Parts: sequence; structure tokens; C-alpha cells
Amino acid sequence: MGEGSKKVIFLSHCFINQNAKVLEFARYPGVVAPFLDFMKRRGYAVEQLPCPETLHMGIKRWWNTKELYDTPGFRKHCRRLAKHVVDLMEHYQRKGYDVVLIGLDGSPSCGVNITGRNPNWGGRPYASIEDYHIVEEMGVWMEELKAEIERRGVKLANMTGVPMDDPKFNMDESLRNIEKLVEG
Amino acid sequence: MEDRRSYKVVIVPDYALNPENYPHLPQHLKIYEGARDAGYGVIKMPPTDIPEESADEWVEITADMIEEYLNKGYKVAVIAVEGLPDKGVWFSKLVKELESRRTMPKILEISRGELEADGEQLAEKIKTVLS
Repeated sequence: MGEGSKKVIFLSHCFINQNAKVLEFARYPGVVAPFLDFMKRRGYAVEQLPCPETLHMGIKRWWNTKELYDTPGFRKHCRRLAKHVVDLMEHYQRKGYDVVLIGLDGSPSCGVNITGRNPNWGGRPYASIEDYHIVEEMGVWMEELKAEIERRGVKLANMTGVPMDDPKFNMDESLRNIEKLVEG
Repeated sequence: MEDRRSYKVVIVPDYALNPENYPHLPQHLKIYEGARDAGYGVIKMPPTDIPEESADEWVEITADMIEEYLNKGYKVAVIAVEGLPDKGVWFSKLVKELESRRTMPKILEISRGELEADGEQLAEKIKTVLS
């Protein structure tokens, strides 16, 4: 890769650490190896976003919807994290990198193109995956991160989400899409 | 679907995934590959040349994650690499922060010689630390 075409990919935390996933959703023991190996073969620098869900609710958290994370307290927590992530994006930009952001589509916090809602979730714990309604919106963490990116005037080369929690997820197809997106 | 998590997490320096940021060190991914092949989830620290005040925040976030994983019975290790500023993980600050919380993961120190030696020894060392 030549000078001027350096790229850094900011990835949702769980692509590198599946132990941060909400219970029942870890598809790999640790690293999502096909994903990370692809990034490094392409010569991209890789940065890992913090996981606001794990930091806020812990590793044994219940399943959540966007509504349940859409609170002033959780958003404040996300804004605090976003400040440090955008500091890091600026650090790479000063060195001439293009910055790409890849979230986890479908996640109530990390979704970029889609997230999950259900206004009835809450109170006594009960959740069925069929009741997690996918909608075309960002998750709460990505909304706050994007707001900080825009406020600071950081230019993203691209931003997308990978729907790894979808049972029909196809890794090869997803990697082809990412390559197209990052390489233009 | 089956949850396949390993319940094993390792904190690594930026060098492990982005060696190109450290041209004075061997340009390979052996630490990452060792952690990957041993099934660890990886928590990567930021590059070592970020401003001090920003680093303080990352150290605190990392300590929060280490404490949470240890409290819930996960195995946690920190890989510290000789030849990087404060071993690539703000080692002094991180250890001080963890001591104040009375929690401590395993520490795996990797020497310059081990970085430059053949990859199998390094991979084996990483593999056995949390076994």
C-alpha cells in the first residue's frame, strides 16, 4: 500500500473479543479470525472501539433493545467514550490515514445500518429473539460516536456495519463488501 | 445458536496488531496469531504515542474491563513487550490501578529476544499462559 493510501479501520470491540458479546451470541472463541486476518492481509491498521455495553452493564447483562439503552445515563457514558475514540481518529488523521468505521449491524448500541427495537421489553426479564424487531436506524453508541465525529469535524472515509448476529450472515460476502467499501 | 466464547481474554499492546507503527521492532504478527490460535479474546491498547491524558483514560477503561472479567470468573492476562514505552500497555499505571482495586491478571512479559526468535516458541508461551 503506497503513502497516502494508508487506512485505519475502527472496529466494534467484539470483532476482536467475542467474550464481550451478550450471552448466546459469541460465534468465535476469541477473535473473529477471518475478519481480522483479512484486515491485516490488506495492510490496514486496526483500532478497537471500547464496548459501552460491557463497561456499563457488565458481561452477564440481559439482552437489550435500543429503547433500553436509550437513556440519558447510557448516552452520557457513550459520549465520554466517544471523546477518546475521536481523539484517536484525529491522531491517525494527522498521520495521513483514511479512517473507516465498522460497527455491528443489528446491535442495540453498535448497529450502523440496522438496530433492534421492542417497546415492550423491560421489567421482569423475558426475551425471545423473534420479538427483537430489526429497524433501519443506528444503535445508541453509534449515534453518539457519529455526533462526536461530526462535532469535531473528523472526516470518515466510510462507515458501515457488519450483521454478524444474523443467523444468515455470510462471512465471505461480507468481506467482499468491506473490501469494496474500503478500497472504493 | 451455541455460544462459543472462550472465557479467556488477553490485553495486548498496539504493536501486536499494528507492528507498522513500531518500525524499530520485528514486523510480524506473532503475538496476535498466538493469541488468536489459543482462542483468546483480544483487548488492544491504543498506540503508545497518544497524549498522556488520553492514555490515562484508556488505562482506566482497560482496568474496568479486566476487573469485570476477573469478577465474573474469566481468565485474563496482560502481554507486556520489552522495547515498547512502558511495555506497550502503560504497564506501571495499569498495575498501580489494578493494585488499588485489589485485582490482578496474569502478566506475560515478552523479551526482545523472544520477539526475534522463531514464532513457535512465542506462540507456545502465549498459549500456555492461561491454560
